[in-house]
Amino acid sequence: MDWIAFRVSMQLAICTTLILFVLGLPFAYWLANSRWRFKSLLEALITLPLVLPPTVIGFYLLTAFGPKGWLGQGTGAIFGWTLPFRFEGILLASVLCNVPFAIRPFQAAIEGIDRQWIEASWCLGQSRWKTFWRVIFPLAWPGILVGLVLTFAHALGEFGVVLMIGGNIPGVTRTLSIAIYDDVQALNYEAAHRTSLLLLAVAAFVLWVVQLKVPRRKST
Amino acid sequence: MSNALIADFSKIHASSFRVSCRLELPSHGRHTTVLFGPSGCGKTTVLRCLAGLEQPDSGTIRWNDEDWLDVAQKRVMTPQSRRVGMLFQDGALFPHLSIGDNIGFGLPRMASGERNERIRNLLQRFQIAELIDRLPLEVSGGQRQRVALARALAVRPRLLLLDEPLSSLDAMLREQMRHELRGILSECNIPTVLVTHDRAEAIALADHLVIMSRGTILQQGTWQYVFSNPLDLEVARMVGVETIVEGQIVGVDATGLAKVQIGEITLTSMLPHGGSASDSICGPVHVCLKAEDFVLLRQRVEHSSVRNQLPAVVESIQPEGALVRIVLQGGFRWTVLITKSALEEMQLRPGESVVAAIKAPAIHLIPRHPPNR
Repeated sequence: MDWIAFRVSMQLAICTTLILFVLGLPFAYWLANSRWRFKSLLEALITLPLVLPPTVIGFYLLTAFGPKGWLGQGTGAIFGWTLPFRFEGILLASVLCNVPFAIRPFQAAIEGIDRQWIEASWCLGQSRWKTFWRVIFPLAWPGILVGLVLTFAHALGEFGVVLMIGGNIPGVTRTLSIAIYDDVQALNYEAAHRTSLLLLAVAAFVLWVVQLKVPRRKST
Repeated sequence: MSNALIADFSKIHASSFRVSCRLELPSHGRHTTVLFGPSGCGKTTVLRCLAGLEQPDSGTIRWNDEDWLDVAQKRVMTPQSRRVGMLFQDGALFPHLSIGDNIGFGLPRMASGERNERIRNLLQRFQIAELIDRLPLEVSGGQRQRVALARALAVRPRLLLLDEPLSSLDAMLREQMRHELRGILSECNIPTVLVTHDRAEAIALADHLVIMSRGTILQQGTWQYVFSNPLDLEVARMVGVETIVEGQIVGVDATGLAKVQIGEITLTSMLPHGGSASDSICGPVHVCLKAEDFVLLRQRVEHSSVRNQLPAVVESIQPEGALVRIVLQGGFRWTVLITKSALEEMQLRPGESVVAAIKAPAIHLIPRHPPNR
Protein backbone atom coordinates (compact mmCIF):
# COMPACT_ATOMS: atom_id res chain seq x y z
CA MET A 1 0.00 0.00 0.00
CA ASP A 2 1.39 3.34 -1.09
CA TRP A 3 0.85 5.43 2.05
CA ILE A 4 2.66 8.44 0.56
CA ALA A 5 0.21 8.45 -2.35
CA PHE A 6 -2.62 8.03 0.16
CA ARG A 7 -1.40 11.12 2.03
CA VAL A 8 -1.21 13.18 -1.16
CA SER A 9 -4.70 12.08 -2.21
CA MET A 10 -6.18 12.88 1.22
CA GLN A 11 -4.47 16.25 1.24
CA LEU A 12 -5.78 17.01 -2.21
CA ALA A 13 -9.35 15.93 -1.38
CA ILE A 14 -9.49 17.83 1.92
CA CYS A 15 -8.03 21.04 0.47
CA THR A 16 -10.32 20.88 -2.58
CA THR A 17 -13.38 20.39 -0.36
CA LEU A 18 -12.39 23.23 1.98
CA ILE A 19 -11.72 25.68 -0.84
CA LEU A 20 -14.98 24.85 -2.59
CA PHE A 21 -16.85 25.19 0.71
CA VAL A 22 -15.44 28.63 1.45
CA LEU A 23 -15.65 30.02 -2.10
CA GLY A 24 -18.53 27.95 -3.41
CA LEU A 25 -21.07 28.67 -0.70
CA PRO A 26 -21.26 32.45 -1.21
CA PHE A 27 -21.15 31.90 -4.97
CA ALA A 28 -24.02 29.41 -4.79
CA TYR A 29 -25.97 31.83 -2.57
CA TRP A 30 -25.46 34.53 -5.16
CA LEU A 31 -26.55 32.20 -7.97
CA ALA A 32 -29.65 31.15 -6.04
CA ASN A 33 -30.73 34.77 -5.57
CA SER A 34 -29.44 36.39 -8.75
CA ARG A 35 -31.63 37.50 -11.61
CA TRP A 36 -28.66 38.31 -13.80
CA ARG A 37 -29.29 38.03 -17.52
CA PHE A 38 -26.36 35.72 -18.18
CA LYS A 39 -26.94 33.54 -15.15
CA SER A 40 -27.93 30.51 -17.22
CA LEU A 41 -24.74 30.84 -19.27
CA LEU A 42 -22.72 30.91 -16.07
CA GLU A 43 -24.57 27.86 -14.80
CA ALA A 44 -23.76 26.01 -18.01
CA LEU A 45 -20.07 26.93 -17.58
CA ILE A 46 -20.12 25.65 -14.01
CA THR A 47 -21.58 22.34 -15.14
CA LEU A 48 -19.07 21.96 -17.97
CA PRO A 49 -16.44 19.98 -15.99
CA LEU A 50 -19.10 17.33 -15.40
CA VAL A 51 -19.12 16.38 -19.09
CA LEU A 52 -15.71 17.54 -20.26
CA PRO A 53 -12.90 14.93 -20.12
CA PRO A 54 -10.52 15.86 -17.28
CA THR A 55 -7.64 15.54 -19.72
CA VAL A 56 -9.08 18.43 -21.73
CA ILE A 57 -9.22 20.63 -18.63
CA GLY A 58 -5.71 19.46 -17.77
CA PHE A 59 -4.45 20.25 -21.23
CA TYR A 60 -5.79 23.81 -21.19
CA LEU A 61 -4.49 24.40 -17.67
CA LEU A 62 -1.11 23.11 -18.73
CA THR A 63 -0.94 25.43 -21.72
CA ALA A 64 -2.16 28.40 -19.66
CA PHE A 65 -0.04 27.82 -16.58
CA GLY A 66 3.03 26.28 -18.20
CA PRO A 67 6.25 28.32 -18.34
CA LYS A 68 5.23 29.56 -21.80
CA GLY A 69 1.56 30.20 -21.01
CA TRP A 70 0.48 33.75 -20.25
CA LEU A 71 -0.80 32.84 -16.76
CA GLY A 72 2.31 30.75 -16.16
CA GLN A 73 4.53 33.69 -16.95
CA GLY A 74 2.51 35.68 -14.42
CA THR A 75 2.95 33.14 -11.64
CA GLY A 76 6.57 32.76 -12.64
CA ALA A 77 7.15 36.49 -12.26
CA ILE A 78 5.33 36.69 -8.91
CA PHE A 79 6.26 33.43 -7.13
CA GLY A 80 9.28 32.31 -9.06
CA TRP A 81 7.61 29.00 -10.00
CA THR A 82 4.95 27.68 -12.31
CA LEU A 83 2.03 25.41 -11.41
CA PRO A 84 2.78 22.23 -13.37
CA PHE A 85 4.42 19.43 -11.37
CA ARG A 86 3.51 21.05 -8.05
CA PHE A 87 0.85 20.26 -5.45
CA GLU A 88 -0.64 23.77 -5.91
CA GLY A 89 -1.08 22.91 -9.58
CA ILE A 90 -3.05 19.72 -9.04
CA LEU A 91 -5.04 21.48 -6.30
CA LEU A 92 -6.13 24.22 -8.71
CA ALA A 93 -7.00 21.61 -11.32
CA SER A 94 -8.91 19.54 -8.81
CA VAL A 95 -10.88 22.57 -7.58
CA LEU A 96 -11.88 23.44 -11.16
CA CYS A 97 -12.92 19.89 -11.95
CA ASN A 98 -15.02 19.67 -8.82
CA VAL A 99 -16.88 22.98 -9.17
CA PRO A 100 -20.12 21.31 -10.38
CA PHE A 101 -20.02 18.65 -7.67
CA ALA A 102 -20.03 21.35 -4.97
CA ILE A 103 -21.88 24.31 -6.40
CA ARG A 104 -24.86 22.57 -8.01
CA PRO A 105 -25.94 20.81 -4.77
CA PHE A 106 -25.25 23.98 -2.74
CA GLN A 107 -27.37 26.06 -5.09
CA ALA A 108 -30.19 23.50 -5.19
CA ALA A 109 -30.20 23.34 -1.40
CA ILE A 110 -30.36 27.11 -1.00
CA GLU A 111 -33.02 27.47 -3.69
CA GLY A 112 -35.09 24.81 -1.96
CA ILE A 113 -35.58 26.92 1.14
CA ASP A 114 -39.01 28.50 1.46
CA ARG A 115 -38.69 32.24 0.96
CA GLN A 116 -41.11 32.87 3.84
CA TRP A 117 -38.54 31.65 6.37
CA ILE A 118 -36.01 34.12 5.07
CA GLU A 119 -38.53 36.96 5.07
CA ALA A 120 -39.72 36.00 8.55
CA SER A 121 -36.14 36.30 9.76
CA TRP A 122 -35.74 39.73 8.17
CA CYS A 123 -38.97 40.93 9.77
CA LEU A 124 -37.63 39.74 13.12
CA GLY A 125 -34.77 42.19 12.68
CA GLN A 126 -32.09 39.75 11.51
CA SER A 127 -29.64 41.00 8.87
CA ARG A 128 -29.01 39.11 5.63
CA TRP A 129 -25.74 37.80 7.07
CA LYS A 130 -27.38 36.54 10.27
CA THR A 131 -30.30 35.15 8.31
CA PHE A 132 -27.85 33.16 6.23
CA TRP A 133 -26.17 31.54 9.23
CA ARG A 134 -29.27 31.13 11.40
CA VAL A 135 -31.84 30.07 8.80
CA ILE A 136 -30.44 29.32 5.35
CA PHE A 137 -27.32 27.40 6.33
CA PRO A 138 -28.93 25.05 8.87
CA LEU A 139 -31.88 24.35 6.58
CA ALA A 140 -29.67 23.85 3.52
CA TRP A 141 -27.12 21.78 5.44
CA PRO A 142 -28.19 18.34 4.17
CA GLY A 143 -27.77 19.56 0.58
CA ILE A 144 -24.52 21.34 1.39
CA LEU A 145 -23.20 18.17 3.01
CA VAL A 146 -24.08 16.20 -0.12
CA GLY A 147 -22.02 18.67 -2.16
CA LEU A 148 -19.06 18.44 0.20
CA VAL A 149 -19.10 14.65 0.30
CA LEU A 150 -19.39 14.31 -3.47
CA THR A 151 -16.52 16.75 -3.92
CA PHE A 152 -14.36 14.91 -1.42
CA ALA A 153 -15.03 11.49 -2.94
CA HIS A 154 -14.49 12.73 -6.47
CA ALA A 155 -11.29 14.60 -5.61
CA LEU A 156 -9.90 11.55 -3.82
CA GLY A 157 -9.97 9.52 -7.02
CA GLU A 158 -8.94 12.26 -9.44
CA PHE A 159 -6.75 10.89 -12.23
CA GLY A 160 -6.73 12.51 -15.63
CA VAL A 161 -6.29 16.12 -14.71
CA VAL A 162 -3.72 15.30 -12.03
CA LEU A 163 -1.66 13.30 -14.50
CA MET A 164 -1.81 16.13 -17.05
CA ILE A 165 -0.80 18.88 -14.62
CA GLY A 166 1.11 17.13 -11.87
CA GLY A 167 2.79 14.23 -13.54
CA ASN A 168 3.87 11.48 -11.20
CA ILE A 169 6.12 12.79 -8.43
CA PRO A 170 5.96 10.67 -5.25
CA GLY A 171 4.92 12.71 -2.22
CA VAL A 172 3.97 15.71 -4.32
CA THR A 173 1.60 14.84 -7.16
CA ARG A 174 1.42 11.06 -7.14
CA THR A 175 -2.15 10.30 -6.01
CA LEU A 176 -3.80 6.94 -5.35
CA SER A 177 -5.26 6.66 -8.84
CA ILE A 178 -1.86 7.26 -10.37
CA ALA A 179 -0.34 4.72 -8.01
CA ILE A 180 -2.86 2.15 -9.23
CA TYR A 181 -2.04 2.95 -12.83
CA ASP A 182 1.67 2.57 -12.11
CA ASP A 183 1.15 -0.70 -10.29
CA VAL A 184 -0.85 -2.14 -13.17
CA GLN A 185 1.79 -0.98 -15.66
CA ALA A 186 4.40 -2.79 -13.54
CA LEU A 187 2.12 -5.88 -13.41
CA ASN A 188 1.98 -5.45 -9.61
CA TYR A 189 -1.67 -6.52 -9.42
CA GLU A 190 -1.66 -7.21 -5.72
CA ALA A 191 -0.80 -3.61 -4.79
CA ALA A 192 -3.28 -2.31 -7.37
CA HIS A 193 -5.98 -4.49 -5.79
CA ARG A 194 -5.32 -3.13 -2.31
CA THR A 195 -5.42 0.50 -3.41
CA SER A 196 -8.47 -0.01 -5.59
CA LEU A 197 -10.31 -1.72 -2.76
CA LEU A 198 -9.55 1.21 -0.48
CA LEU A 199 -10.90 3.74 -3.00
CA LEU A 200 -13.95 1.55 -3.61
CA ALA A 201 -14.64 1.30 0.12
CA VAL A 202 -14.25 5.05 0.66
CA ALA A 203 -16.51 5.87 -2.30
CA ALA A 204 -19.19 3.40 -1.21
CA PHE A 205 -19.11 4.66 2.38
CA VAL A 206 -19.34 8.25 1.31
CA LEU A 207 -22.30 7.64 -0.99
CA TRP A 208 -24.03 5.75 1.79
CA VAL A 209 -23.59 8.79 4.07
CA VAL A 210 -25.09 10.94 1.32
CA GLN A 211 -28.10 8.63 1.04
CA LEU A 212 -28.65 8.88 4.79
CA LYS A 213 -28.48 12.66 4.74
CA VAL A 214 -30.50 13.37 1.62
CA PRO A 215 -33.73 14.97 2.83
CA ARG A 216 -36.61 12.62 2.18
CA ARG A 217 -40.11 13.81 1.48
CA LYS A 218 -41.93 13.73 4.75
CA SER A 219 -45.61 12.91 4.77
CA THR A 220 -47.49 15.28 7.03
CA MET B 1 -45.45 65.58 13.77
CA SER B 2 -48.23 63.21 12.86
CA ASN B 3 -48.85 60.06 14.85
CA ALA B 4 -49.84 57.99 11.91
CA LEU B 5 -48.78 55.58 9.23
CA ILE B 6 -49.50 57.25 5.93
CA ALA B 7 -49.10 55.09 2.86
CA ASP B 8 -49.74 56.13 -0.69
CA PHE B 9 -48.09 53.92 -3.26
CA SER B 10 -48.66 51.73 -6.26
CA LYS B 11 -47.04 48.65 -7.70
CA ILE B 12 -47.52 46.52 -10.80
CA HIS B 13 -48.90 43.24 -9.53
CA ALA B 14 -47.67 39.88 -10.83
CA SER B 15 -50.88 39.40 -12.80
CA SER B 16 -50.16 42.70 -14.52
CA PHE B 17 -52.76 44.97 -12.92
CA ARG B 18 -51.72 47.91 -10.80
CA VAL B 19 -52.11 47.73 -7.05
CA SER B 20 -52.61 51.17 -5.61
CA CYS B 21 -53.02 51.89 -1.98
CA ARG B 22 -53.87 55.02 -0.07
CA LEU B 23 -54.08 54.31 3.64
CA GLU B 24 -53.82 56.19 6.86
CA LEU B 25 -53.89 54.58 10.25
CA PRO B 26 -52.92 55.60 13.77
CA SER B 27 -49.40 54.56 14.80
CA HIS B 28 -50.26 54.14 18.47
CA GLY B 29 -52.66 52.08 20.49
CA ARG B 30 -55.12 49.41 19.60
CA HIS B 31 -56.53 49.76 16.13
CA THR B 32 -57.14 47.07 13.56
CA THR B 33 -57.35 47.87 9.88
CA VAL B 34 -58.69 45.01 7.79
CA LEU B 35 -57.92 44.75 4.08
CA PHE B 36 -60.82 42.75 2.72
CA GLY B 37 -61.16 41.41 -0.79
CA PRO B 38 -61.13 38.28 -2.96
CA SER B 39 -57.96 36.22 -3.41
CA GLY B 40 -55.52 37.78 -5.82
CA CYS B 41 -56.88 41.33 -5.46
CA GLY B 42 -53.51 42.66 -4.28
CA LYS B 43 -54.16 42.97 -0.58
CA THR B 44 -51.20 40.77 0.35
CA THR B 45 -49.03 42.91 -1.94
CA VAL B 46 -50.06 45.98 0.07
CA LEU B 47 -49.11 44.21 3.27
CA ARG B 48 -45.74 43.10 1.89
CA CYS B 49 -45.00 46.64 0.72
CA LEU B 50 -45.74 47.90 4.24
CA ALA B 51 -43.36 45.28 5.65
CA GLY B 52 -40.65 46.25 3.16
CA LEU B 53 -40.58 42.80 1.57
CA GLU B 54 -41.70 44.22 -1.75
CA GLN B 55 -40.86 47.53 -3.38
CA PRO B 56 -43.61 49.70 -4.79
CA ASP B 57 -42.95 51.32 -8.18
CA SER B 58 -43.96 54.73 -6.92
CA GLY B 59 -45.19 56.51 -3.85
CA THR B 60 -44.35 56.98 -0.20
CA ILE B 61 -44.83 55.32 3.15
CA ARG B 62 -44.33 57.42 6.26
CA TRP B 63 -44.37 56.26 9.87
CA ASN B 64 -44.68 59.31 12.12
CA ASP B 65 -41.60 61.27 11.13
CA GLU B 66 -39.74 58.36 9.56
CA ASP B 67 -39.60 57.78 5.84
CA TRP B 68 -40.11 54.07 5.28
CA LEU B 69 -40.26 54.57 1.57
CA ASP B 70 -39.93 57.42 -0.82
CA VAL B 71 -39.51 56.13 -4.35
CA ALA B 72 -38.87 59.58 -5.83
CA GLN B 73 -36.07 60.24 -3.31
CA LYS B 74 -34.81 56.63 -3.66
CA ARG B 75 -35.18 56.13 0.07
CA VAL B 76 -36.14 52.65 1.27
CA MET B 77 -35.97 51.37 4.81
CA THR B 78 -35.16 47.66 5.12
CA PRO B 79 -37.68 45.30 6.72
CA GLN B 80 -35.19 44.84 9.56
CA SER B 81 -35.29 48.49 10.62
CA ARG B 82 -39.03 49.05 10.17
CA ARG B 83 -39.66 46.95 13.28
CA VAL B 84 -42.91 45.43 12.13
CA GLY B 85 -44.26 42.07 13.21
CA MET B 86 -45.31 39.98 10.23
CA LEU B 87 -47.50 36.92 10.53
CA PHE B 88 -47.47 34.72 7.43
CA GLN B 89 -50.39 32.70 6.18
CA ASP B 90 -49.15 29.36 7.48
CA GLY B 91 -46.96 30.71 10.25
CA ALA B 92 -43.56 30.25 8.58
CA LEU B 93 -42.09 28.79 11.78
CA PHE B 94 -38.42 27.81 11.42
CA PRO B 95 -38.62 24.01 11.13
CA HIS B 96 -35.17 23.40 12.59
CA LEU B 97 -35.79 25.31 15.82
CA SER B 98 -37.89 24.40 18.84
CA ILE B 99 -41.01 26.43 19.63
CA GLY B 100 -39.08 28.26 22.37
CA ASP B 101 -36.19 29.10 20.03
CA ASN B 102 -38.64 30.22 17.37
CA ILE B 103 -40.20 32.72 19.75
CA GLY B 104 -36.79 33.92 20.93
CA PHE B 105 -35.39 34.11 17.39
CA GLY B 106 -35.61 37.87 17.13
CA LEU B 107 -33.83 38.43 20.45
CA PRO B 108 -30.32 37.02 19.93
CA ARG B 109 -28.61 39.89 21.70
CA MET B 110 -30.77 39.79 24.80
CA ALA B 111 -29.29 38.26 27.98
CA SER B 112 -30.43 34.65 28.10
CA GLY B 113 -32.24 35.02 31.45
CA GLU B 114 -34.30 37.92 30.20
CA ARG B 115 -34.97 36.20 26.90
CA ASN B 116 -36.17 33.00 28.55
CA GLU B 117 -38.39 35.06 30.80
CA ARG B 118 -40.00 36.77 27.82
CA ILE B 119 -40.45 33.48 25.94
CA ARG B 120 -42.08 31.91 28.99
CA ASN B 121 -44.41 34.86 29.47
CA LEU B 122 -45.54 34.74 25.86
CA LEU B 123 -46.03 30.98 25.94
CA GLN B 124 -48.15 31.34 29.06
CA ARG B 125 -50.20 34.15 27.62
CA PHE B 126 -50.96 32.02 24.57
CA GLN B 127 -51.56 28.97 26.76
CA ILE B 128 -48.99 26.84 24.98
CA ALA B 129 -46.34 26.60 27.73
CA GLU B 130 -46.04 22.82 27.31
CA LEU B 131 -44.87 23.21 23.70
CA ILE B 132 -41.60 24.99 24.48
CA ASP B 133 -39.31 22.09 23.48
CA ARG B 134 -41.38 20.74 20.58
CA LEU B 135 -40.53 21.23 16.94
CA PRO B 136 -42.94 23.10 14.63
CA LEU B 137 -43.81 19.86 12.81
CA GLU B 138 -45.09 18.43 16.07
CA VAL B 139 -47.72 21.07 16.83
CA SER B 140 -51.23 21.55 15.44
CA GLY B 141 -52.34 24.26 13.02
CA GLY B 142 -53.93 26.44 15.69
CA GLN B 143 -50.91 26.14 17.96
CA ARG B 144 -48.63 26.96 15.04
CA GLN B 145 -50.41 30.26 14.42
CA ARG B 146 -50.26 31.10 18.14
CA VAL B 147 -46.52 30.46 18.17
CA ALA B 148 -46.06 32.57 15.03
CA LEU B 149 -47.95 35.44 16.64
CA ALA B 150 -45.96 35.08 19.85
CA ARG B 151 -42.73 35.15 17.81
CA ALA B 152 -43.81 38.34 16.05
CA LEU B 153 -44.79 39.98 19.35
CA ALA B 154 -41.58 38.93 21.14
CA VAL B 155 -39.56 41.67 19.45
CA ARG B 156 -42.10 44.31 20.53
CA PRO B 157 -43.00 45.49 17.01
CA ARG B 158 -44.45 48.91 16.33
CA LEU B 159 -46.94 47.60 13.79
CA LEU B 160 -48.42 44.16 13.38
CA LEU B 161 -49.11 42.80 9.89
CA LEU B 162 -51.24 39.68 9.63
CA ASP B 163 -51.56 37.92 6.28
CA GLU B 164 -54.68 35.70 6.28
CA PRO B 165 -53.71 34.44 9.74
CA LEU B 166 -56.59 31.98 10.07
CA SER B 167 -57.10 30.81 6.49
CA SER B 168 -54.98 27.67 6.88
CA LEU B 169 -57.16 26.41 9.75
CA ASP B 170 -60.32 24.34 9.45
CA ALA B 171 -63.69 26.02 9.91
CA MET B 172 -64.32 25.06 13.54
CA LEU B 173 -60.89 26.07 14.72
CA ARG B 174 -61.03 29.26 12.67
CA GLU B 175 -64.07 30.47 14.56
CA GLN B 176 -62.48 29.77 17.92
CA MET B 177 -59.18 31.39 16.93
CA ARG B 178 -61.03 34.42 15.62
CA HIS B 179 -62.31 35.19 19.11
CA GLU B 180 -58.91 34.49 20.59
CA LEU B 181 -57.17 36.73 18.07
CA ARG B 182 -59.61 39.51 18.86
CA GLY B 183 -58.73 39.23 22.54
CA ILE B 184 -55.01 39.18 21.84
CA LEU B 185 -55.13 42.17 19.51
CA SER B 186 -57.05 44.28 21.99
CA GLU B 187 -54.66 43.22 24.75
CA CYS B 188 -51.39 43.93 23.01
CA ASN B 189 -52.22 47.49 22.10
CA ILE B 190 -50.40 47.66 18.76
CA PRO B 191 -51.83 49.03 15.53
CA THR B 192 -52.56 46.11 13.23
CA VAL B 193 -53.20 45.59 9.55
CA LEU B 194 -54.91 42.31 8.76
CA VAL B 195 -55.57 40.82 5.34
CA THR B 196 -58.51 38.48 4.85
CA HIS B 197 -61.06 37.26 2.33
CA ASP B 198 -63.31 35.95 5.10
CA ARG B 199 -66.28 38.23 5.78
CA ALA B 200 -66.82 36.93 9.33
CA GLU B 201 -63.17 37.59 10.13
CA ALA B 202 -63.41 41.13 8.79
CA ILE B 203 -66.51 41.85 10.86
CA ALA B 204 -65.06 40.32 14.02
CA LEU B 205 -61.74 42.14 13.89
CA ALA B 206 -62.02 45.38 11.93
CA ASP B 207 -62.04 48.82 13.50
CA HIS B 208 -61.48 50.15 10.03
CA LEU B 209 -62.45 48.17 6.97
CA VAL B 210 -60.78 48.62 3.59
CA ILE B 211 -62.48 46.91 0.65
CA MET B 212 -60.14 45.99 -2.19
CA SER B 213 -60.71 44.55 -5.63
CA ARG B 214 -58.35 44.16 -8.59
CA GLY B 215 -55.70 46.29 -6.94
CA THR B 216 -57.83 49.26 -5.98
CA ILE B 217 -59.44 50.34 -2.76
CA LEU B 218 -63.16 50.56 -3.46
CA GLN B 219 -64.35 51.86 -0.12
CA GLN B 220 -63.19 52.25 3.46
CA GLY B 221 -64.76 53.05 6.82
CA THR B 222 -66.07 51.23 9.87
CA TRP B 223 -67.42 47.82 8.89
CA GLN B 224 -70.89 48.76 10.12
CA TYR B 225 -70.92 51.71 7.77
CA VAL B 226 -69.42 49.94 4.77
CA PHE B 227 -71.66 46.90 5.15
CA SER B 228 -74.85 48.94 5.28
CA ASN B 229 -73.78 51.65 2.81
CA PRO B 230 -71.87 49.98 -0.02
CA LEU B 231 -70.73 52.60 -2.50
CA ASP B 232 -71.30 50.50 -5.57
CA LEU B 233 -72.54 47.18 -6.82
CA GLU B 234 -69.20 45.42 -6.44
CA VAL B 235 -68.82 46.39 -2.79
CA ALA B 236 -72.44 45.42 -2.15
CA ARG B 237 -71.75 41.95 -3.57
CA MET B 238 -68.49 41.62 -1.63
CA VAL B 239 -70.03 42.52 1.72
CA GLY B 240 -72.67 39.89 1.08
CA VAL B 241 -75.86 41.75 0.25
CA GLU B 242 -78.01 38.78 -0.81
CA THR B 243 -80.50 40.60 -2.97
CA ILE B 244 -79.64 43.40 -5.36
CA VAL B 245 -82.45 44.37 -7.76
CA GLU B 246 -82.80 47.17 -10.24
CA GLY B 247 -85.33 49.82 -9.34
CA GLN B 248 -86.29 53.38 -10.00
CA ILE B 249 -86.64 56.29 -7.61
CA VAL B 250 -89.98 57.76 -8.64
CA GLY B 251 -90.33 60.48 -6.04
CA VAL B 252 -89.41 61.93 -2.68
CA ASP B 253 -92.06 62.49 -0.06
CA ALA B 254 -92.45 65.50 2.23
CA THR B 255 -90.39 63.89 5.04
CA GLY B 256 -87.47 63.21 2.69
CA LEU B 257 -88.04 59.49 2.12
CA ALA B 258 -87.62 58.02 -1.35
CA LYS B 259 -90.29 56.08 -3.19
CA VAL B 260 -88.63 53.27 -5.11
CA GLN B 261 -90.40 51.32 -7.78
CA ILE B 262 -89.37 47.71 -8.50
CA GLY B 263 -91.70 46.42 -11.19
CA GLU B 264 -95.19 46.65 -9.72
CA ILE B 265 -93.96 47.16 -6.15
CA THR B 266 -93.20 50.45 -4.47
CA LEU B 267 -90.83 50.59 -1.50
CA THR B 268 -90.12 53.39 0.94
CA SER B 269 -86.47 53.93 1.71
CA MET B 270 -83.87 56.50 2.73
CA LEU B 271 -82.28 58.55 -0.05
CA PRO B 272 -79.03 57.29 -1.55
CA HIS B 273 -75.97 58.42 0.34
CA GLY B 274 -75.15 62.06 -0.42
CA GLY B 275 -78.44 62.63 -2.24
CA SER B 276 -80.57 65.67 -1.50
CA ALA B 277 -84.35 65.67 -1.32
CA SER B 278 -84.89 67.23 -4.72
CA ASP B 279 -86.51 65.67 -7.75
CA SER B 280 -83.12 65.44 -9.47
CA ILE B 281 -82.45 62.38 -7.32
CA CYS B 282 -85.06 60.46 -9.30
CA GLY B 283 -83.59 57.86 -11.60
CA PRO B 284 -82.42 54.26 -11.84
CA VAL B 285 -80.89 52.65 -8.73
CA HIS B 286 -79.69 49.30 -7.43
CA VAL B 287 -81.80 48.34 -4.43
CA CYS B 288 -79.79 46.41 -1.81
CA LEU B 289 -81.82 44.18 0.49
CA LYS B 290 -79.96 42.29 3.19
CA ALA B 291 -81.56 38.95 4.07
CA GLU B 292 -81.24 39.38 7.83
CA ASP B 293 -83.07 42.73 7.81
CA PHE B 294 -86.43 41.18 6.90
CA VAL B 295 -89.19 40.19 9.33
CA LEU B 296 -91.72 37.59 8.14
CA LEU B 297 -95.40 37.92 9.05
CA ARG B 298 -98.35 35.63 8.38
CA GLN B 299 -100.42 38.63 7.34
CA ARG B 300 -100.27 42.36 6.97
CA VAL B 301 -100.30 44.31 10.27
CA GLU B 302 -101.92 47.70 10.66
CA HIS B 303 -100.46 50.54 12.71
CA SER B 304 -96.85 49.40 12.63
CA SER B 305 -93.64 51.41 12.43
CA VAL B 306 -92.33 49.33 9.57
CA ARG B 307 -92.74 51.14 6.23
CA ASN B 308 -92.59 48.24 3.84
CA GLN B 309 -94.76 45.13 3.92
CA LEU B 310 -94.39 42.99 0.81
CA PRO B 311 -96.76 40.10 0.09
CA ALA B 312 -94.89 37.11 -1.30
CA VAL B 313 -94.94 33.36 -1.88
CA VAL B 314 -92.36 31.03 -0.31
CA GLU B 315 -90.30 29.47 -3.08
CA SER B 316 -87.77 27.43 -1.12
CA ILE B 317 -86.55 26.84 2.43
CA GLN B 318 -82.91 25.94 3.10
CA PRO B 319 -81.46 25.40 6.61
CA GLU B 320 -78.13 27.15 7.21
CA GLY B 321 -76.71 26.50 10.68
CA ALA B 322 -78.90 28.16 13.29
CA LEU B 323 -80.66 30.11 10.55
CA VAL B 324 -82.93 29.27 7.65
CA ARG B 325 -82.59 30.81 4.23
CA ILE B 326 -85.96 31.43 2.61
CA VAL B 327 -86.35 32.52 -0.99
CA LEU B 328 -89.48 34.55 -1.67
CA GLN B 329 -91.20 35.52 -4.89
CA GLY B 330 -93.38 38.58 -4.97
CA GLY B 331 -92.83 40.55 -8.13
CA PHE B 332 -89.12 39.87 -7.85
CA ARG B 333 -87.15 37.16 -6.07
CA TRP B 334 -85.36 37.88 -2.79
CA THR B 335 -83.77 36.07 0.14
CA VAL B 336 -84.71 36.28 3.81
CA LEU B 337 -82.85 34.82 6.79
CA ILE B 338 -84.81 33.85 9.91
CA THR B 339 -84.01 31.59 12.85
CA LYS B 340 -84.92 27.92 12.93
CA SER B 341 -87.20 28.42 15.91
CA ALA B 342 -89.09 31.17 14.08
CA LEU B 343 -89.63 28.84 11.13
CA GLU B 344 -90.98 26.11 13.44
CA GLU B 345 -93.34 28.58 15.12
CA MET B 346 -94.66 29.89 11.81
CA GLN B 347 -94.76 26.41 10.24
CA LEU B 348 -93.94 27.83 6.84
CA ARG B 349 -93.93 25.57 3.79
CA PRO B 350 -93.00 26.23 0.19
CA GLY B 351 -95.94 27.59 -1.79
CA GLU B 352 -97.50 29.43 1.15
CA SER B 353 -98.11 33.16 1.26
CA VAL B 354 -96.31 35.44 3.70
CA VAL B 355 -95.68 39.12 4.20
CA ALA B 356 -92.05 40.28 4.38
CA ALA B 357 -91.50 43.50 6.29
CA ILE B 358 -88.42 45.73 6.13
CA LYS B 359 -87.77 49.16 7.67
CA ALA B 360 -87.02 52.03 5.36
CA PRO B 361 -83.48 52.70 6.74
CA ALA B 362 -82.48 49.06 6.09
CA ILE B 363 -82.91 49.50 2.34
CA HIS B 364 -79.79 50.82 0.71
CA LEU B 365 -79.88 52.48 -2.71
CA ILE B 366 -76.93 52.76 -5.09
CA PRO B 367 -77.45 55.10 -8.08
CA ARG B 368 -77.00 53.09 -11.28
CA HIS B 369 -75.09 55.86 -13.00
CA PRO B 370 -73.12 57.48 -10.22
CA PRO B 371 -72.76 61.19 -11.08
CA ASN B 372 -69.15 61.43 -9.79
CA ARG B 373 -67.70 58.74 -12.07
